[in-house]
Amino acid sequence: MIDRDDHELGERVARAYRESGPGDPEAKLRLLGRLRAEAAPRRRPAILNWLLEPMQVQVRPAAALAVAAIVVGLGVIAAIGLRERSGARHLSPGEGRPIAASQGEAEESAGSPPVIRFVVVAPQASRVSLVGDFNGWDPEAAPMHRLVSGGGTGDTWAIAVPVPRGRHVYAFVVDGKEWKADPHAPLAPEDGFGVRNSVIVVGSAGST
Amino acid sequence: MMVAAFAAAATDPRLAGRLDPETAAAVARVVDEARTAGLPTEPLVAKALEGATKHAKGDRIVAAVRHYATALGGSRAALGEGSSESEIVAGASALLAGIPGDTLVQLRAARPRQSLTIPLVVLADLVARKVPAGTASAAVLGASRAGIRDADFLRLRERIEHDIRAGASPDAATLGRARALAGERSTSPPLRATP
Repeated sequence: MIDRDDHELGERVARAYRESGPGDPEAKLRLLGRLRAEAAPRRRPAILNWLLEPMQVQVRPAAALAVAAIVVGLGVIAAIGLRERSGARHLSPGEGRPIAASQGEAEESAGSPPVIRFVVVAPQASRVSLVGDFNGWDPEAAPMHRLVSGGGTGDTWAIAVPVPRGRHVYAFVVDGKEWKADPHAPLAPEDGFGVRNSVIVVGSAGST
Repeated sequence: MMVAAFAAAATDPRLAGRLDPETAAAVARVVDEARTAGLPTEPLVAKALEGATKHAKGDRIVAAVRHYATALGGSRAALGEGSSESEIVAGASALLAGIPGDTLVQLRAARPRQSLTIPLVVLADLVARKVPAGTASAAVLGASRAGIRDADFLRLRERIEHDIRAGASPDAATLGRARALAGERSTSPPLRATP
């Protein structure tokens, strides 16, 4: 394909030849001299030409749908990745280690008690509750949610609840009958009822 | 007798809703005595509710609440009248775990202006993991006198727990970690376990 710059160059060559006269032995020399004297036209880089020139592309509808599905899928994966980093419910494979409430994430807003996230691993449980002095030890007050892990085992349970500042004791109740202390939190002394509880201290800078 | 029982239970509807009337009234009396003495009462109510959830018998609930109230009083006496509720509650747990009252007094002397809640929580935790009370007291007192922060106390606890899980005896794990901590702060006196 002849582009515009080539056409202009050809015109200049022709003009210069005509002006120098046919058959003149000196004509070639004069022609060459004039061509050298003229500034070379500015040419766009080839890649730029390729980018800017319109072109026709043929695509099968099935292929277009497949590409669109891949793009949407990548977007969903990216969104999930952002949610994981923000501490939401999904776990990566290999995670699921209990996060001691004593290391829990605390969110708070002005005037409200900090919200503490409690997490526990309870394999084969059908229901898990968080009980403590901050909710009257009521198993119905804080039923925990099963998290979906990458391995699909679903052994991890979590809940986020407001906990007033200070020292508190708590435990997890599995299937309404098994009491489980938090394996990664400080232990409280024997409770007078034969069961161990865990301790969390919620300070001014979140839980400790 | 029954009228008085119901009157006492009426002071906190949570007790009446979860305990039988006789137990609720007995617990309410303990709570009232604690309130009169200026002690925290919410932990006592919570202790009763805990017992109810754990399906403990009434007399066991009352005994646990009364025992706890006594420990709260002892904790406040040892830590000082100006102590926070968290400190008093944590101190009560330490006393219930078998820590001598004198340890609480010494802790206050070692940390007169800082909260003792975390050191007391760590102290009770160590004893709950079968560290002898004397060793646990020495470790926590030594760390307090060395001026370590609350976050370092919690790390010390985690490391001791880790060592115990790895097979070390509770006593050896605590002494080892406490000596390592003292070594980092060479101004502290050498740590010795006390019986």
